[in-house]
Amino acid sequence: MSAAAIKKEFVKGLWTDIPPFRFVLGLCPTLGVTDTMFKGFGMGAATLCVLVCANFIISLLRKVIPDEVRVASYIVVIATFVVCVEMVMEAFAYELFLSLGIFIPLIVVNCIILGRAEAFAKKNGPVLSIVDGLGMGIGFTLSLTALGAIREILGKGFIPFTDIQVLAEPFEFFQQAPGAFVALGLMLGIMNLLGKK
Amino acid sequence: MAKFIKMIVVLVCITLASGMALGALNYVTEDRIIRNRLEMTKVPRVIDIMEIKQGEFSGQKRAEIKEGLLNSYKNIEMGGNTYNLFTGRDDTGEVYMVAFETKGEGGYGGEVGVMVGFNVKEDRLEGVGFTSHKETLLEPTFTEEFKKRGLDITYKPDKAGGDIDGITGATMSSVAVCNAVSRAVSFYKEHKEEILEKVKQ
Repeated sequence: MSAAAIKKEFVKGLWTDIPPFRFVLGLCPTLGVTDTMFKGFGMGAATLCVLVCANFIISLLRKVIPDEVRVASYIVVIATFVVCVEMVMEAFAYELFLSLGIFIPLIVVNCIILGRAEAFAKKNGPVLSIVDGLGMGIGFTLSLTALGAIREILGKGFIPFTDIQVLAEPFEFFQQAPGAFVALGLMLGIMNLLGKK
Repeated sequence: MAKFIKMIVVLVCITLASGMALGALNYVTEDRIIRNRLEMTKVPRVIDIMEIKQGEFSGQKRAEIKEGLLNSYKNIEMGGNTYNLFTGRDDTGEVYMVAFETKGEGGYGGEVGVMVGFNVKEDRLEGVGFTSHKETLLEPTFTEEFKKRGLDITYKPDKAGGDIDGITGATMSSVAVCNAVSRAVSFYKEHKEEILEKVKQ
């Protein structure tokens, strides 16, 4: 396994295969918890942890798990890590836990995680799977953080984590669900423009 | 057949390992989680209820009361359930209120957790506060409906023939809150002596 292969698997999640924008996957949290930058980042980080751990365990077990029960096995592994993240968050980051609410248990059904297990960890070794999980997870976290920042700036009128006001009259629309769709659409458009070949 | 057995064995092993891992993590985090829930959702609601009688507390007074409540709460076990029992004291240091949390089913997003405070001197409901819920339309001002009410009124929304003005457009949430409160009221009426006994200990 060469350093180049590792780099390739890592970098793809950051731009060419960045989950919410290239595949439009994992939209439930992408739209649901990005009204502030902090929540977007917290959600992304939680998903990142689950993704890396699940990818690692699934790739270790890839030769043991019979094909017929693989999806059930993956879901058990993923659900276990989600509950772990939930418990750790409730113990050590209680305010974030309260603000994310129902979206933490919903990581179980985040199709990015099952998708990476099925598309990557099933076929590759543990090291590459961890790298893949890291790349995809960081890409997802960056997307949510960016979307959260945009919605917070436009919807609340303040730069996140500061008292600096940039909009005297914020577009409150961006704090609500329809605004999430519009912000996501704008970002998708910009990504497509930038990524045009 | 061998394949069939392998499938079962693998799944059983994975779930066993998962169960053990979660059990171990639960053991490590449990105390902190209980402490967090107490400190950041239950106790603040008890303080809100105490402010009904004593007026708004200053920041420092609030912190002192919080510390006192955390140190003095007791668990009571009755009917298979454990209740965190909080005791509110007035300015003279005398006990005038007990509060505990109950759950009410029937909400739009499942159960609603409600902290319910009783004035033991005047034998009435002192106030309530919401501790955990997933209702989207549960207005915080709905707690006003439960301030200083008697123990013998019907804790149901007016639409269901009760004495509580329900939240307009959120009947299910109102019902769930009323369920929790009426559960607390009947528990208090039934076990008042035992609760007071516990407080004195």
